[in-house]
Amino acid sequence: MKESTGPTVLRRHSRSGRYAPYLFITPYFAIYIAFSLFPIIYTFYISLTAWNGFSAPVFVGIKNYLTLVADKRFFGALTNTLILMLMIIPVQIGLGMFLAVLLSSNNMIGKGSFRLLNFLPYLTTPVALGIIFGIMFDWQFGAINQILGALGLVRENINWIGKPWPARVMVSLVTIWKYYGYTAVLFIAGITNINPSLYEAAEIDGVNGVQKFMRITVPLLKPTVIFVVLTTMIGCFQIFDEPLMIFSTAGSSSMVGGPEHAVLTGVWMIFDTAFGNILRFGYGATVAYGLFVFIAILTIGVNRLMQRREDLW
Amino acid sequence: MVGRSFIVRLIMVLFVGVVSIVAIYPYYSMIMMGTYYSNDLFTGIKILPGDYLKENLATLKTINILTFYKNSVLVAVSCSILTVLVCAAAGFGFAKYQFRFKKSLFTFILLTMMVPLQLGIVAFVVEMRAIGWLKTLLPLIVPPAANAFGAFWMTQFALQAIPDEVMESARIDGCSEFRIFTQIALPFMVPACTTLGLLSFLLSWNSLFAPLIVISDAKLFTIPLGIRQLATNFRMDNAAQILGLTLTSIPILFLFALFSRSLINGLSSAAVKG
Repeated sequence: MKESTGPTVLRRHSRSGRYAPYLFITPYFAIYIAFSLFPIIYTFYISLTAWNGFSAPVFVGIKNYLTLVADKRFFGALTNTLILMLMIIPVQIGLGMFLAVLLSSNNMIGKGSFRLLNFLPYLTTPVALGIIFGIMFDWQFGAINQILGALGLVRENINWIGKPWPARVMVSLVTIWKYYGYTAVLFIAGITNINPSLYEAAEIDGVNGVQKFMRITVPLLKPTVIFVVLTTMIGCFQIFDEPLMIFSTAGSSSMVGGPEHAVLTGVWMIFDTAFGNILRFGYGATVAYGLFVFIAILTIGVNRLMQRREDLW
Repeated sequence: MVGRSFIVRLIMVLFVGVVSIVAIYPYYSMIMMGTYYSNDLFTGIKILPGDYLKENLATLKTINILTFYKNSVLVAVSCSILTVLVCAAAGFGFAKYQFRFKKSLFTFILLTMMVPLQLGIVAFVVEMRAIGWLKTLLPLIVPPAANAFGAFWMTQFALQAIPDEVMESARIDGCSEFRIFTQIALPFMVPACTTLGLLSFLLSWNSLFAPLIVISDAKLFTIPLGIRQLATNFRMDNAAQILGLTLTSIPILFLFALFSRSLINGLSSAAVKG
């Protein structure tokens, strides 16, 4: 952070000024501590109890954690999240970067309007997304199956909502659809920040477009790539609204996590455990902590790996 | 002769064009679907509007869509104003003053950006019940105001946007630190405030997870919650739901049309600096 030159003057001129910075940052920290940090710490205490949220909580120590490490549904949710990450992140980055390169190219027309159009999905209400994609991916009459059939890509309709793997692909597609334009915008900003003289020097050396992209654009976009990977990873744990709507629109509202729990993500599992048909605040809190440990290890590990492996870039 | 560059250009435009159609098609079909009878939605792709608009509007009236709309506006507007004020003050404090623990506190904010808020949701509900906020909209307005991304970004913006000289001359004229913030710093920070305000409006307006957990009184439902209730109530009326959602999207599209440039620039500058 750049240092400000204000404070020396400040000390000479006003006594109240010494407390001013604390006054400015207090509202932020007061709200954060009261409504985010405190619940996070208190959730840890709840995770050590058996509690339905109403009667008195019973302290049970690490019993919930022992249940957690043997809970197939918990590891299922972790596996699902990892699968979704692997399906979403490469496409998100590939498509986003490619679109960004096209939309920053001098050969492109209507750059501004295309940028806006592709940004629109980021603004959609998740509830709307869920309902509309639920209808579009309908087994018998949905637009997606009709288009795939008309193009001759599939012989029979795909049961997107009723089968585990198609359901995962569908949820990935919905997520990619929502965020690729946003990702492209981030990459466009990254590309705009690259010094044009690098490209000019490359042109003098007779380097072609593909090489320029691989040797200059991609390496210099590394910080943006890391940002997108980390935020998408955390985002994958939080996928909840759209599948919740898709799978409750499709039929029974009891389809927690989609067919065979195939798209049960971290946040969905917390929601269902703590606030589902049976209220289990204690175990729900344990699930939340289990997930947190997993996310923390994963994001720190991936960050380290990406920062260190210079040869990859 | 038709140059190679022309063909390259054509392919580029075609590709971007197809991707853009994919981006807006669901929007388009949302608008169209709201005008059909629910059962007809599942009979093929809808390109032209149907004739069931009035009936769907009538269904929406039965669930008090206006109350939900009012709640959503109240929540999103108050939440974004509060977020902007809280984060702008924090950003100003971090950018323009030296104080003890400044570095550690700022690092703390950066770290919290990586912690998903859903982690504490169980205790959050318990806390809201204990302080009597469950019967109000406050749980949707106050807690999101401490937006880590917002505070970080306001700090970055204040560092380069507010000239120290202006602040110093105001001090020499006897201006209090609080007035320096409200009358001198804030005007310099307007662009960042607009973007953060829009962003938190968007998040608040679209939010489903938090309302689903903390709001149980139908009088306090926001639109996403109310629309969801339409699905689980007496029958599944997809068309009416979709019409409701079309109406929901209008304010967002309107705001976006007005401020798209500042929103996009703001979001991308944050990623480049972060």
